[in-house]
Amino acid sequence: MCDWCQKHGAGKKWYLNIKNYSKDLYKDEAVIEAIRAYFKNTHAFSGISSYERYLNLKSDEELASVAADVEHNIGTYMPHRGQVVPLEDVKEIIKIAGPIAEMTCVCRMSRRANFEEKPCILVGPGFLEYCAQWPDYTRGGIDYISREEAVELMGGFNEKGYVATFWRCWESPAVMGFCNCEFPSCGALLNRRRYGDWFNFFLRKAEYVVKQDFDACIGCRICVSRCQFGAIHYSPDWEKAIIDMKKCAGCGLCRDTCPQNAINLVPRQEIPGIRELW
Amino acid sequence: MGAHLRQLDIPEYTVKVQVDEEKCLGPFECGACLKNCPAVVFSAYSRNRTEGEISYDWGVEANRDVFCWRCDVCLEVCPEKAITISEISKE
Repeated sequence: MCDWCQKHGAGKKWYLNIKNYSKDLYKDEAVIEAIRAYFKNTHAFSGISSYERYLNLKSDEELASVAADVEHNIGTYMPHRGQVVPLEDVKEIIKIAGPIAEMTCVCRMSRRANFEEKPCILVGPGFLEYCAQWPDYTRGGIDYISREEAVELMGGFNEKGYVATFWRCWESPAVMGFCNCEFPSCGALLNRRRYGDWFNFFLRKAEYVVKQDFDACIGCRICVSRCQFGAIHYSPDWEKAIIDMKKCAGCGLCRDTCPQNAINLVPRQEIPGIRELW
Repeated sequence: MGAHLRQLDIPEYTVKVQVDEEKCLGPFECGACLKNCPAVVFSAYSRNRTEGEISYDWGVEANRDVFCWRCDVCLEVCPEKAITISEISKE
């Protein structure tokens, strides 16, 4: 558990701390300014934009100074803006969340020009107001839904194979909502897969990790197609699935469809070798 | 220098992908490059946005072109031939 989690989690996971759902967090002007800046800036969704500068460096010294700049910038961010959450934690969050609404996905709009689905589930009182001021990002509108509907929707997304991630507001621990997405379209998952664990200042792995019962696996390969993080591969020699626990983000998608119940979610803290790998 | 870039998985050779704004039909009207590019090089962006209004002036840009691996799918699918790919040589 990181320092930020200990400060804002009250001994639990930060997303189960009821304080972070309070509207009081939006009284701070700086927080509201940060949200406005986020909505104004379309290029924020285009990934890290200064590649060109990095690629045109002339010497090793220049590269080292740029690398130090990047490290410094990341260090000053509030850590882990989003985190992967498995279905049981999703249900816990929906139990304590305030108004819930669904809207279209920003990443999919800018990456695949697709408005067909509404996979973003916003929770909490604060963020919805600011979304409504930028109807570009909420084309098709914001639909308020009940708790039961939200649970049903999230279950449907899980069945479909979307990873659920939970996000907070950029400059405060105030919660923002769920994102249900898949690998190439989702900005967070795309960069997570391209950059690996280095990217955990933005998206963190879940508090859980999967553990496989290797003998029970029958090699049906259903889990291989469900993994959005590239952590599972099929071994033709053993005729079983092999899970890379270092890459596993603990979303639980593979567990939910395993016909043999050969995959279990265990708390990340219990596995010493990957306890610190976020 | 290569070692640092390899840590971040950024390839050292690079290509420049350019979208001709004059010819491009727009991401929501066409969007063929956005949907077909396997490296997710292209993204839609709004040229100017105002609070409380829907912007209809969106363009396509190739801002992640360091990840382009030259499969040339975009050149095939673009109906207006608005995309050009050029290689930048590194010395």
